[in-house]
Amino acid sequence: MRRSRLNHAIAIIVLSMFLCSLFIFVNPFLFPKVLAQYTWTDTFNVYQNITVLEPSIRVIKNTYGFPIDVKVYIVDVNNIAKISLYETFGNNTEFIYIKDGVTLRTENTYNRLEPNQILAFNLLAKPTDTLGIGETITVQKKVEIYKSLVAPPPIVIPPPIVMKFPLDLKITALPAIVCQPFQPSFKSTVTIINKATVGTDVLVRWWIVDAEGKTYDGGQKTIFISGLDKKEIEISVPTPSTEGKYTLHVQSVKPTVVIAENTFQVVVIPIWMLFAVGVTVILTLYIIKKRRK
Amino acid sequence: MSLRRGFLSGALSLAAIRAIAMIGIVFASAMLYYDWTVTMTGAKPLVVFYKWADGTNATTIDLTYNIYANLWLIDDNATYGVKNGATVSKTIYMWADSCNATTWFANYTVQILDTSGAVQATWTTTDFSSVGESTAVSWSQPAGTIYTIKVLFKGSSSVVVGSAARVNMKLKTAE
Repeated sequence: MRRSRLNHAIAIIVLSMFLCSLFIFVNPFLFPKVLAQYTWTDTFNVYQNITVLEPSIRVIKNTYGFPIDVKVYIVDVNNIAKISLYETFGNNTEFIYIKDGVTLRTENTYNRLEPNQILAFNLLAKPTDTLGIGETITVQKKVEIYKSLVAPPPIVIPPPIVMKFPLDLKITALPAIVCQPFQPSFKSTVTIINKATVGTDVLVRWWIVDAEGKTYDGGQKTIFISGLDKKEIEISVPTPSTEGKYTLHVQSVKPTVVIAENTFQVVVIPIWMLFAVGVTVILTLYIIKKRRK
Repeated sequence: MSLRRGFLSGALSLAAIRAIAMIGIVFASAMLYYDWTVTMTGAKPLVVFYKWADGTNATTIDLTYNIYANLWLIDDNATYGVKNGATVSKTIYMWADSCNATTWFANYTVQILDTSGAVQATWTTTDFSSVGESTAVSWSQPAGTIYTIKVLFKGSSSVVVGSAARVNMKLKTAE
């Protein structure tokens, strides 16, 4: 059942395509049919050891309202062995090229000759030393004109993103464990490398984030780094009062955004424990003193 | 049954490919054809080199000289002249196309003299840094006249005894 539907669908597509092609083929406004076949005949003299240039020997002007492609190709060459050089070219395009009796280019197409634009054909010819007076060389070519197909949309390749001030930023020193309340803040070292050849001010900002995503303010600092140089800066990070694992984020804000991060642990020693330890120490000292007496 | 369906499906696919190919052919049909025949006939050129000694014509010539370091060599009348065999005046262009020993010449000059000995054109260089058709000089030569080629050059200190320098000169004219 499904196959039958598929076959019907394919049959409809084929028929539609055929009808479309028939419509396009018979409709001269959409696709002009062969309008005419012309004959060009050119005759000129050539001389031993002399290169003859026939500039603009034939000209094609696009009188259509759409771009055309012009294809030129060799059909036959008589007495090719007597050709030292023969070239058909125009609008910076080489169509035919024969060198020392050998055809090196048999055809070429000039694409998209725009309306009212002209394609001028030039000829260069030089016979061999053996070409006698009155002897002839004949080159038969064909020129075909097509309606240019619609060009596919250009593939836009985005230019590579070049950072104006390429920077590298690393946290090079960070304590693994920080104790509260002994360390209300701690130091960390950040290395910034300026890969550009010119010096720049770098604005560095830092903050910490706990395991639940809560952010704690850190601070910011501006430092000048010469071109192709690096600097280490020491930043002061406030220690969170709650025990846990935290991430230190360091970011260069200007001129280029680069982020580095590293984790550390906060250990909080409770007040009562400190008090207990203090009392224990005092009591111990008191007992020792009493025993000595 | 399923084999038959498969065959039908394949046949239809083939038909689709054929139809697409047909459409391609329709789109590729040329609108205009030109049958272009170019016939070139061997002939004698009207502007040629004329050998003073025997009156023969040539389309290429070789002029051979010795070259000496720091000395001028002047050939007031080269073996060949330039002949305009046409029935009308011709504008003739001349330039050096190449030189295989650019450092050999402190000065290299070719002059074209008319029948009265007046200089009509001079192509000259001191270092061959610029050659080619863009450096061409021209003169107008009346019908039936033969002009003299005068060659002057001075060797530089780079001249190597026993070796040869070759300067390739070219002429151009309209038929």
